[in-house]
Order: sequence, then C-alpha cells, then structure tokens
Amino acid sequence: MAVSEASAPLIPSRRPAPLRILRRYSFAFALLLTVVLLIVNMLTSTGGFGWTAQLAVFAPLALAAMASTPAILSGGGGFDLSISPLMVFTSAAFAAWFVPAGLDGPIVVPLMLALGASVGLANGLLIAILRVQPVVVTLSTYFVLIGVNMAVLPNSVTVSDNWTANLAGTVGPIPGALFLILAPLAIWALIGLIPYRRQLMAVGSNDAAAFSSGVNVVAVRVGAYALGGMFAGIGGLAMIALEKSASASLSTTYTLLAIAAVALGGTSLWGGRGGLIGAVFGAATVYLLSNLLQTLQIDPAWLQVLYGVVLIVAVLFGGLTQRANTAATS
Amino acid sequence: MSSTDQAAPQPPMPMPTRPERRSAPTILHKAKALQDRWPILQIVLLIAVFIYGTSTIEGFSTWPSIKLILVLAAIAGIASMGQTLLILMGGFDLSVAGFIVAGGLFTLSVRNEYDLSFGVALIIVLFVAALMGAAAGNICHRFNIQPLIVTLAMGTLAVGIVQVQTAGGSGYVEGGSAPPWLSKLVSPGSSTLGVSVPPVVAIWALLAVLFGFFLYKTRQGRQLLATGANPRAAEYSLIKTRRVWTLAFAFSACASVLVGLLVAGFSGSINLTAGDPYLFQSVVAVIVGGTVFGGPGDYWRTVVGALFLTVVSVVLVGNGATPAAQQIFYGVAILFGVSLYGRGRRLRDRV
Repeated sequence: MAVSEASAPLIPSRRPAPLRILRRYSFAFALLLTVVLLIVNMLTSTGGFGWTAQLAVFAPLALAAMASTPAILSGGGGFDLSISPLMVFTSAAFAAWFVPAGLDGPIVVPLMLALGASVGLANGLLIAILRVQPVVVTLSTYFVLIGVNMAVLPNSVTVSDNWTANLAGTVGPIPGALFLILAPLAIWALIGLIPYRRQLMAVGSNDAAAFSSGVNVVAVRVGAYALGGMFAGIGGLAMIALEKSASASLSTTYTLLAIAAVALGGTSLWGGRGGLIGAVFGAATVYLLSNLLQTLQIDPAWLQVLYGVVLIVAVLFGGLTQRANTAATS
Repeated sequence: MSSTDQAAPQPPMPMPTRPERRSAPTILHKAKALQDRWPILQIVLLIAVFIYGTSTIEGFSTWPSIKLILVLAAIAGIASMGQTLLILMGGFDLSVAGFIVAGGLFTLSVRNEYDLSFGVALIIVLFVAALMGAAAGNICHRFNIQPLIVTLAMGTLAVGIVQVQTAGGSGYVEGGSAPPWLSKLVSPGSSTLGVSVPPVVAIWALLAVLFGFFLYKTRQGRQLLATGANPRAAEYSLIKTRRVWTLAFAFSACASVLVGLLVAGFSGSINLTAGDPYLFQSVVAVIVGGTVFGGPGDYWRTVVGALFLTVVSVVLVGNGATPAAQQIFYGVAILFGVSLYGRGRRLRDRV
C-alpha cells in the first residue's frame, strides 16, 4: 500500500476543521451520528423511548464491540473474530454449568471474566507462539467455539428468574445495563494508569519500533486478546440478562455488528488509534439505525442489507480518514 | 499486507544458527523440505483415515459410497477455487456462504417472481456478484483493509439483497426447486458419457487441470502469484496489483454463485444457511492442503485438502459424530494446517 500513498502533497496543507477534531477525538463522528439518531428515534417512537429496555438490548452489542477493540488496537492485522461465539460460550457456561452447580449471585461474575479472559489468552498465545495471522487463529477458535456451544447447549437453556434480571431491569433507579456497559470502560480507564495502554498503542502503531524501544510486543499483544476475552465474559452476562436463556444459535449474532461498530467508532483497523468509547458510540449508531428501521416497520429482511451497507460505509469512512490523516501529516 | 511480508519457507530453527555453523541437513530437514514440496503427510493421513473408515463403516469402500464421497469432495473443491486464488494472492474470502445462498436462491426461486428464465436469472446474478466482488477487492486493496472484514460485509449484503425479494424475508419462494438437469449433474448415481463417474466429478477434474494451467502457465496467473508473493515488488514490475485484486475477488464471487447452483442441485432446494458449511470447507481445504497466504501453493493441493476433509467428515458422521464435533474438527484442522506451513517471521528478524 505504501506505493500508492507516496503521492502525498509535498507542502502540508492546513487540515480542514472537521478533520482536526476527528484526529483529536476519533469517536467524534460516531458521537454525532449517535446524537442525531437518538433524537430521530425519540421523535419517531410512540409511547416513550423506554430507556431501561433499550439499554438492555443495546448492552450485548456494545460489549461485543468493546471486546473486539483491544485486539484491533494491537495492530499487525490483529483481529478477534471469536468474540461473538465467546460471549455465547460464557453465557452457556453460566446457564449450563454455574447455575446448576448452585453458583448463584455475583460470585459468578469473576468466574465469567476469568473464563472469557482465558479463552482470549489462549487465542493470544496461539497467535504469538505459532506466529500465525490473528485472522486465521481466531477463525479457527470461532469454529471451535461454535462447535463447543452446540455441544454444551444442544437445546437452549432457560435461566429462571435470578439476580441477572436486574441487569436488564433496574438497580435502584439506574438501568442495570449501564453497569455492564460501564464495567469495561472503568477497566480501560484503570489500565490507562499503568504503562500497558500506551504500550498497546505503540505496538499497534509500529510493532518493530516498539520492539526496538524495549516493549515486550508479544506480551502486549497476548494481553490485548486476554483483555478482549474478559470483556466478552461481561458480554456473556449481558446476553443472559437480556435473553433470560443461553442458546447456541446466537453464536454468530454479533460478529459483523461488532466490527462495524468498532470501525464506525473511529478505531483504526490498522491498529494504534482509537479506544473503547468509540466502540460504544459506534455500537450505539448501529443499534439506533436498526431500531429506527423497526420503528418505521420496515421488513426485517432489510436489516441484513443495512448491516452489510453499514459495515462497508464504516470501513470506507475509516479508510478515507486514515488516508486524509497520513496525507496531512507527511 | 502483513500476510505477505513473510520470507520464503524456512526450516524452523530452535536457536538462531549462524550460516557457517549450519550442520549438514538431517533427516528431519530433508523430510521438512519434502513436505514443503509435496503434501505427503496429508496423503498419508487421507489413506489412513480411508482405511479406518473401511474397517469401521459397513460398505465404506464400495464404488457407490466412493462416488458419493467424490461428489461431496467435488462440491467442496469447486467451492474452494475462489478461496485458493485469493489466499494465494494474500486475500481471504468470507463471502463464500453469502454468494452461494444468493446465487442458489435467486436462480432457483426468486426468478419466478419476475418471470425470468433460468439463463437470464443466472446472467443477472453473476453480473451483480461480479460487481460486488470487484468492489470488495478494490476497497480492500485501495485502503489496505483486512479482506475478511469487507467480504463479511459483501456476503451479508448479497444474502440480504436476495432475501428481501422473498415473501416477508423468509428466504422461501413457492416452486423453488432445482431443475432436473442440475440434479442429474451432481447426482452420485448419474454417469458421464457412459463412464460411471458423476458429471460433477469429471467437471472438477477438468477444472483442476485448467486451474493449474492458468496459475502457472498464463501471464495473468503469474501476475497473481507475484502479487501474493510480494505486492510491492509486483507493483515495481508494472503489475497492476489493484486490478489483480479486483478481478480475483470478482472471480471468487462468481465461482461461489455457480457453487450455489451445485449445492441446490445436490440437496434439491436451498435455504438461508445452506452456504455455511462450504465457507468452513473452503477455508479448511485450502489451508490443510498447504497453500499459504501469499503463496506458495497450488490448486491441486486444495484438491488433496478437499478430499481429505470430505473423507474425514464422512468417517466422523459414519461413526456417529455430531455437527458440533465436525465444527470443532474444522477449527483444529485449520490451526494444524497453518502451523505446519503458514508461520510468519519473528519480530526480531523484522527490525
């Protein structure tokens, strides 16, 4: 690709204002879309917007997008295709293993996180040790996890009314889904206090340079997959809260949407730029768009078309801003 | 592409050895070199699994049963043609399933809504698929984006576009069954020109020969291989790599549409999830065959991969394995295949 980018202007021109804002806050575009769509949604919806229920439906998508982000940030073709089946796998473990074993209440939360993180860790280690493209490794874990989900859940398992219902309802006056969505953001903010997040961005921008500066590139990348897996564990919880059951047929629900959300949210698909906030706003855009389609009572089959188009637009948008950025800085 | 900056196949060295201290090639090195040249391990495993199948499943090695395996392998193999081409070029196609469903659904049933003849419907769907595939290839190359992402979008879009034309998006249209000649083409019972080989198998054999000729004996094939081996060097050699990407993705989309016809002919009808198994199989067949991202590789390796995959699947099902177990097998087979061939360079060697 470097070949075609060699045609950058010799004299750097002053960037137009929107581009400057985008460069500083990569999620600005998704934020704008979210606000506009939110207003349109609230105007068109009849009988109130229903924040609590809407947030509960939105939570798994937002978590899938956030879980996909660290791997993409780590660069080098980093990508975790197995997030969606992993979320279903953790929800399967919850419904088919933890609850029947009498593990109830918030003690399950660390278990779910650990389960997700260990699958993510396995992904990361396979990528690092085998030195195989992340896409290929996570594609094979994607297949394996779908198979495991089918084996664990031959039929969907219903979770009888328990504490997770609060996460789709309300905890006091606050919608429960907010806790789920804010959890990864809090973890992300905490990680910002240690060098790891900067190292992740450095590795994503230029792994060879990061390696030369003494960053343990392999460890940082493996950590990114483990972190994504952990967020997927929270996503499993969100799915249980929403569906009140676990079902293997949902394994691939969020694969495409999560990528579309991440790309729309301004995270560079080449790594090193972006973050979790962008993923949330990207997911909000995707969610509100499909919500609008439903409010307008358009044939659900059009959702497929919409998702495909949204992903392509997101990718094109990412590509164009990236190109504008490189052209303006070189 | 990160996939294309790998060096020529190198023996895995546990320690960095200096050239002057390299010892004489051991048996292990020779075996590795031989394995890099020929898929010996795959063929040995194929024979082993076949013998195991013969001993555990009644009538496994009879001619009708072998014909069925060959038909299944032929469909999987033809479905892997586009994938082979793209992986050789350093690309990837996740839209195989989408275009299979779109092609099958449109030519068999949706055309009835518009009173189109089979031929016209096929031309329309091929044209649209070529456009969408070309767009995918062009976008991937232009913005250096993971082909996986763009083809995922295109596949979803392809299914969506056909699905919205069916009643209520059900993916079902009245009177949508495969024409008799199509069923005959893929029926394991039918014969080709009097020889007791199903026509689709004969077509597959012909395609395999043509494909090998195209890849290594034509200018376009060579350009594609050069693009996969080193896109930058190819660009300097005045190969229009973006055009190569665009055309290859368009080819893959069209090939998938045609496979949709074969799938529909084989099972009599087609539904929205009929393409999924072929997506898995196309990836597994190419990678297990030993074709690496950006080359080297060849289509006949994919043929071996498709045969291996089919025999293993049939043996698994014959011994009572669930779809879940098959799915897990696909995943593990991919990992095994790439770790054998497709390993990248160490980071410290790239600094």
